[in-house]
Amino acid sequence: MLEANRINAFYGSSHILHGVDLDVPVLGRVAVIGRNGAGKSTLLKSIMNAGPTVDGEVRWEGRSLKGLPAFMRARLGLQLVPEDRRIYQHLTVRENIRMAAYATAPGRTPIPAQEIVDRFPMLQPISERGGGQISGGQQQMVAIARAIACRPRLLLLDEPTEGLAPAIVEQLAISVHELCEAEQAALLLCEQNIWFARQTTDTVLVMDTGRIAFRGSWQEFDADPDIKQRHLAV
Amino acid sequence: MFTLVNGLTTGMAVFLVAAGLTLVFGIMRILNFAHGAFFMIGAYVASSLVGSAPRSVLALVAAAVVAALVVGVLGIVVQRFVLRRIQHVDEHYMLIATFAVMLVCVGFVKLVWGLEFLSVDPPPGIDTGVDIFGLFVPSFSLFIIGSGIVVFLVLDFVIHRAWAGKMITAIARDGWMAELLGINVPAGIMAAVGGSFALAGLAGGLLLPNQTLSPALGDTFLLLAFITVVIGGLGNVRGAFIAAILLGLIDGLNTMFLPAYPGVAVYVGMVAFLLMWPNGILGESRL
Ligand SMILES: Nc1ncnc2c1ncn2[C@@H]1O[C@H](COP(=O)(O)OP(=O)(O)OP(=O)(O)O)[C@@H](O)[C@H]1O
Ligand SMILES: [Mg+2]
Repeated sequence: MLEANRINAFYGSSHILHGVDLDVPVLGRVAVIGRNGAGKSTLLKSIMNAGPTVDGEVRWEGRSLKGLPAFMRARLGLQLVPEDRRIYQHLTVRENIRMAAYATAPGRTPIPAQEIVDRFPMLQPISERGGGQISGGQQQMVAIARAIACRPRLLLLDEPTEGLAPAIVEQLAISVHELCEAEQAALLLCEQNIWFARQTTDTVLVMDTGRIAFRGSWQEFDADPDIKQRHLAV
Repeated sequence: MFTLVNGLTTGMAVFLVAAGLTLVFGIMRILNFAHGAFFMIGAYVASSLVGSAPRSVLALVAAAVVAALVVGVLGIVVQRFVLRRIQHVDEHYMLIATFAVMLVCVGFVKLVWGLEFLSVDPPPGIDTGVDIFGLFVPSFSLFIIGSGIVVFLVLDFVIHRAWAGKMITAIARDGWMAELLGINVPAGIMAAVGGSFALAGLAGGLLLPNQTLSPALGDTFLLLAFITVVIGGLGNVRGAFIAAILLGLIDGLNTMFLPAYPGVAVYVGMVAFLLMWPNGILGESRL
């Protein structure tokens, strides 16, 4: 469904991604793990055309996305939940969710904000609160709920567990898994939390300084402890 | 009482001009030096429509609305070709570029409407005065005060309550995220900036009577509008409203107690306010 071929990404003159190839099949569950600064967020932003200058080809359902601005990519069904969540503080939780309706692909209808709130028990008590008056874990939930509201075909999650308590991380893993199943959405996840990535995906890519150092199943990943040692240890 | 009415009239007139200026800043982080020039174009457009003696209040308001549309369209052109390009460059360039736009506008006005002064009378209905507690108040003053309040209330509703305003605010505060949510950010900014310019045109039309129209009209109002925007908090419409009232009242007191030094108190007031609230009374705002 999503293919990226030989992606090179730049911030000004610094060359961040070096010839990255990526393939997310329909309903695929792919994790990209790597140290701080490896280039995980840059990869997701490159796919969305939201920040770095990108050279190389991103294809969506066989079609090249070249030159398409981020909002058009969003409307094709790609939803990025950024690592800093970016909940609007001047809007309530419910309004934040409603704001995503513009990203609904043609021929699909967005999920009404009320239905989303009903589906996330955590959101019910806070749905009328301002975006600035909720905790970090709640913000992460809102960010994911907002992304789901436009019925994306591919969910790009950037370090959703960052800064969350272990109990919340467990709950989030279940939610993410269920949501992707229910919405028939593919998942591309960037994580440092290997436990969480393992719970929610079946394929893993290890990224090290802007290059893919390993790709395979979680069993293959476990079979080679050297990978962890070389590319993930800090 | 007389001072109060006069002050409020000045204040609301300035607010009408300052509203669009502060909005453009809130949306694009650009201080538009050409704003006064667009206000002036609005006044000239309206004057071409109503002549030197408008037939009715309705005719004046209709002319102001047409002026708003014309200036709004000009604003979209300026946004497309100038403002958008300078949004992310150094402030000096913004200043120079919008100054250049102002010069072009003034030249355009001279070409089309000539150099001589034009003046327009208030239309029948608001050309006399009314008696309030034994005091003669020009009804055109009441018209301006009313217009200012109506424009403020409508703007405040659109920005803080209406969905379109919430969306524009979302774009202004975090355009990057807005794009990811599928919002056509460039189109949204263009519409909002067009609307802000339209406010300048509307102000030009509404304030037309009792003005002397000359190619220097833009400057007079621009300066007061700038002071208002800075005192109220850049990008903050509510702040601009309050600041405009305060400035108007200060100016009214100035006229009463220091008639020999018109306008001094406004500057003194500006310095005092900025010492107390360096970021403006209500603070800087991205809408
Ligand atoms: N806006 C930017 N301008 C310049 N350099 C940037 C920018 N954003 C990121 N970088 C650099 O790009 C490299 C990759 O950053 P990126 O954010 O993609 O890493 P990451 O894998 O997501 O890390 P983390 O786990 O800390 O989020 C880093 O060296 C970073 O300093
Ligand atoms: Mg990152």
